[in-house]
Amino acid sequence: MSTKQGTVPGSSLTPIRLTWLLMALVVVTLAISFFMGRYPTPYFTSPAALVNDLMARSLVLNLRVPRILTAFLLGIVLSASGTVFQLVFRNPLVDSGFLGVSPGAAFGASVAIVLLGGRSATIQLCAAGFAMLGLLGSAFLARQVRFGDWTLRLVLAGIAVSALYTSATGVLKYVADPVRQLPDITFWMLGGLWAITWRDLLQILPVVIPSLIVIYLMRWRLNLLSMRDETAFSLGATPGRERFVLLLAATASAAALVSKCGQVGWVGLIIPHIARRLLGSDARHVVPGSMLLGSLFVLWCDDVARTVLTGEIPLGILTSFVGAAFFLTMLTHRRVGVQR
Amino acid sequence: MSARPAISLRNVVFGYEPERAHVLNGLEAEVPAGKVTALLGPNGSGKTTLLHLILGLLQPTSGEVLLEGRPARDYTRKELSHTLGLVPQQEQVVFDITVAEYVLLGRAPHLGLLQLPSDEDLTVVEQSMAEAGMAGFRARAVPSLSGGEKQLATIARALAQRPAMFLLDEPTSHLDIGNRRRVLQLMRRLADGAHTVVFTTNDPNSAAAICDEVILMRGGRILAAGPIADTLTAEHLSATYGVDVEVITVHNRPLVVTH
Repeated sequence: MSTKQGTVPGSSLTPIRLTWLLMALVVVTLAISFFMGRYPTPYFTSPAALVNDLMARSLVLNLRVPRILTAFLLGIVLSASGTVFQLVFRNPLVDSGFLGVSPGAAFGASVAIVLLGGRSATIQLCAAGFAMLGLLGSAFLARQVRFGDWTLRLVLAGIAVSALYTSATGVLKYVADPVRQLPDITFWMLGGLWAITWRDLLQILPVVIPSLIVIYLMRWRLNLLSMRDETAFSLGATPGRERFVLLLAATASAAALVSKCGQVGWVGLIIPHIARRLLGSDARHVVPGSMLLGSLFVLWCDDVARTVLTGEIPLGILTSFVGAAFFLTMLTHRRVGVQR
Repeated sequence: MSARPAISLRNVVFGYEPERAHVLNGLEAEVPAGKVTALLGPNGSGKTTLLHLILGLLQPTSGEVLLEGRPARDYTRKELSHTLGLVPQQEQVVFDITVAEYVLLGRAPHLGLLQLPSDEDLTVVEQSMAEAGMAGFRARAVPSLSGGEKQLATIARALAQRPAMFLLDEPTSHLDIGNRRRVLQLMRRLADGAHTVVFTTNDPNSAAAICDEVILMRGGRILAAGPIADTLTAEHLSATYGVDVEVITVHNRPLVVTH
């Protein structure tokens, strides 16, 4: 059986065993994260304090727990949608920021901050709305392009939509009040989880849970959809429609989280590569592996972001820094697990 | 020969753009079941387009393709993928999936949208890899294979699909003579096992080596079609390729030589 399924490169672990191991690691990380923070004592909150200190208990339950669960979801969603994007576009260098989703969210947040008063609910709604509009706009434009296959057309449309959003965001930054509004835009773009409440978490679940279920259930199918149209079609798939469903799930869930957390970069790009290195390239194992590795990565980064300094480090800075450093190491030390 | 042809073309016309000239003009031919048929012609004669029309990836502008006597457009996607296995001209596998994982994709037509492959599917994969002589490569990454190995892996994937007919697009181009021979023999074995095999090629000798039937194409039209003895003649080939050729017989098979 292990020869048929393939073993993990460089070890005797099967992908399934390694996935269980990662799952255990996520549970342990989640458990430890609940006891990490700056209050009531720096770095580590003793279980005794949670029993005796009412203030500490209330802070942990109302602020720290939803924040940690959101970090957990953020890692799962960004990595899962990154994996979907890379497979569907047959390109290891894309993630859900592609197709105008991230620039759309940034534009939406800027509109809310500069033109609509900047209440957090407005920011979230605008960010999610314009992110989805980015995807739909790209898909619509792709249908108008008269050459190339579906993927190439969508890539070109995505680049165009992203460029439009980025320039429009530039205009908003230019006219924004440099004292009140510009810092808000900048801070939102750096990404972070400091403002997350139970309400925020519950609001995104109706979008996130169904999307993740679709991606997880179609994980083996993703192998097929990463083939060229001709091949996918001959094997009974309806490539355009099935890819669109997966991209919609990937984008909607990512947009929901980005609207709450701001731009948290590099997770969706780097985690699928690590998952492929550990578990092989079969999407059946890469999808769950990415989800678990992504949640580990974001949980660790957020633990550092909120624990190490008295002031909080924006999460997006940490993930980008660690992600890019990791990517460079992978590029220079071994091949990335893909070939052209 | 069985009474009902595997594939029939009824006055098939096709153009990519309505306002531009047609790529295929009034194709009329029959592909007998259980035989190897070559679509032979120079580059750009419309062979791949015709293969895509048979596959259902493209729809004819007018005319009709029949599969086992039934209009292809009446087939559901699932029925089509159970009937026709495709070996495309240049498969691009970007990620490092193994040969076994790649061949397993051939089981997709037999699985539901959300269904995972079973042990039975894995057994079919093992058989298909063995049939294509790729059993020793099961753990190798597809992008690391040579051209010939990749072609055999793709044929193994089509075998795992267990279709009645195989469509192969230029299966022998870019191959050295060893791998070319391996691929040709495999196609011959498939037909001897009662499968219908159709392949495109621009090389008359690939067709001459194993074919029962030849459809000669040039400029989107069929110049000649039928048993190899009647079609693979010096006269027809000269008209198709625009050069003088001679057809000699070696070991009871025709061999095409140019001067």
